Amino acid sequence: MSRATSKPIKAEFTITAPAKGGDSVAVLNLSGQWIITRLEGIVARMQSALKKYDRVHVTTDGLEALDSAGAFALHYALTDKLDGEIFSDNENYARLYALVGANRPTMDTYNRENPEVRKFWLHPIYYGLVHLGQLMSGFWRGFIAQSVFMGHVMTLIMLSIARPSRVRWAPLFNIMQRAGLEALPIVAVTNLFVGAVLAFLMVLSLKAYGGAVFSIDFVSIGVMREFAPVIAAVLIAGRSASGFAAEIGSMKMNQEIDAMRVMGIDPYEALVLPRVVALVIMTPLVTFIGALAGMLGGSLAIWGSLGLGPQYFVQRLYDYVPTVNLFVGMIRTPVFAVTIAVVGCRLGMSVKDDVISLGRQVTKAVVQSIFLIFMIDAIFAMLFNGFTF
Amino acid sequence: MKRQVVPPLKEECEDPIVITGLNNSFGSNVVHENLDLTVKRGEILGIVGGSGSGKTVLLRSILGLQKPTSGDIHLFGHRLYEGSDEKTRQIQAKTGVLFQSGALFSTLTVAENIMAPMMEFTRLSRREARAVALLKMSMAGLPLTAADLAPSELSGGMIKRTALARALALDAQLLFLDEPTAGLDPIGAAAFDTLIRELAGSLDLTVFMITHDLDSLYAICDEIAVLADRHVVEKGPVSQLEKSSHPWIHQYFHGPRGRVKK
Repeated sequence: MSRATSKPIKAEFTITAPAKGGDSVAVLNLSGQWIITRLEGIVARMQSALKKYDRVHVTTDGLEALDSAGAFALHYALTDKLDGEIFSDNENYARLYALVGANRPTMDTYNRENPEVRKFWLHPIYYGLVHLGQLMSGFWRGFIAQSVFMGHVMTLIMLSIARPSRVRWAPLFNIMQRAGLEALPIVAVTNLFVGAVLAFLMVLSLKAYGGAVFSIDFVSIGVMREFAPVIAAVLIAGRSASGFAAEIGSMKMNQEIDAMRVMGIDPYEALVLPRVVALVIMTPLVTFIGALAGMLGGSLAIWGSLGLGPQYFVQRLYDYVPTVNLFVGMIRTPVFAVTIAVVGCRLGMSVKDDVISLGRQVTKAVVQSIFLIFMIDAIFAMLFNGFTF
Repeated sequence: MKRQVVPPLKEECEDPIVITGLNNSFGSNVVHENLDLTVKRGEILGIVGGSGSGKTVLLRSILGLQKPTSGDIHLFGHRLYEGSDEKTRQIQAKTGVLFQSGALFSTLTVAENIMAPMMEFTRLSRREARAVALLKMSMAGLPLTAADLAPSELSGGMIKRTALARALALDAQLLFLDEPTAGLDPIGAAAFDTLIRELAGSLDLTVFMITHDLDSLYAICDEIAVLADRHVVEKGPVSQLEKSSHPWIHQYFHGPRGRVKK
């Protein structure tokens, strides 16, 4: 097919003004292709051209094609100015025009009842403020929902302590493996690198004071108190908060949660509780391995840069670093675990029926849990400020 | 931004769909063997067949979603998988599909769903496109107040109607319907049948409809093609098929749920 023949002809019209003194009927002639791909702007042009005429007669010399959008554009511009018959020579076009005309009253009613909203010139600012307000009220509602959810979970934990037979062991161990054991390699490797980097930095800056050996104290205290718990929690949040939200959310979309409720299975007991408990058990263990890996990384870095071997590192650890540091670090891990699991499960439970809300809730789960981890970590750091060496 | 518009397709054949010698197989599982089918212009063709008889595979082959193992499919006289991208898009602009579950874009509202093909393939402004979308909604029997609802807020019947309006957004001449009345209540299904019949009549549509609904078959189909034994065993109006001696067709129309009225 050559380009020239495929070149389409736009929808066109010409208007012949009525003769002076005669009958006041203008003649509108349509030509070209009145189809949806050729119609841009025609309604506005025709409306302004027809403004001064009360009656219009339509002829169709050279009209090549008409579809429902074309008929609609014509109907829209003509409104009730039409004089005489239209498309009397083409049954298909006449039928289309009639079909569009039949739908016109519904549309007019709708347009009358829902006028286009004129945008206020301060719109961006106004909209920004509205958005900010919605965000704040969203935060507040999220906080309430989180508290309610937390309460629900706490009650369930108490109940299952009273009746251990109701605990679902299989999913519990399954999740312990998926969320805990399988996170071990990444947590260990990350801690190893962070420990090594810390040690290098400390050696570098303490050398100037002739106290490079103190980098051992710093690395082990830093890793045990802060780095290992936070790194483990952030990594677990990235892996599991999103995973929990997506799992529970897609179960909700698939009506599986409703099916559970109908069967008399409490979804909180079957889905949420195992996840919370599994993370509470696994996070401290993973953190502990992470702390060991961090100190290993630190000791390797110090061995490399100062020549003080692992034996020296461990000896100094025994002599100068109190065990309280490990305790201060580990005490916060169950709190992190509960935060991650509860945020993930709660946002999964609040997924609505569409895919968008699933994506949004999964993102929110990761963002909120990581944010909360750092906030809680700061609170713990302040609380345990007095537990010094 | 100037959008690419599709020039109208020059038709080189009277029949919108011509399938000859279609073969489809997945591994050792042969779905279609030497399948021939012609759909005439302005005809409403119903496709029936047992579960697993390859109705959906046939539809997907015609739509170009699945390349057949061998065989020819011509749409409006143009062979599928042949010719330029422009030609493919011209064919696509002339066909509309109503998927079984609607397949509405969940991020867009009802009006935006119907506007989507217009914004993609025409140079209409948003306002113009919205006006046309409202027209299509009204033609599809949707209340216009639903224009700004999200697909997740719609009932089953409204989803089907929205999908129909979207399929007709560019004035498609060939409409594919995959079980249009599945999941609708009998009253809603009857109303949808009437709607398709009316639209097909007034817009001069050719309709290719997969259905299990006997009422739809009787109410709106001009002809019915029966898919069995890996090809079209019989094609004809209901009255002819009722008298068929093929065991599956006989069972279909004379079985406990058949409705051959004596």
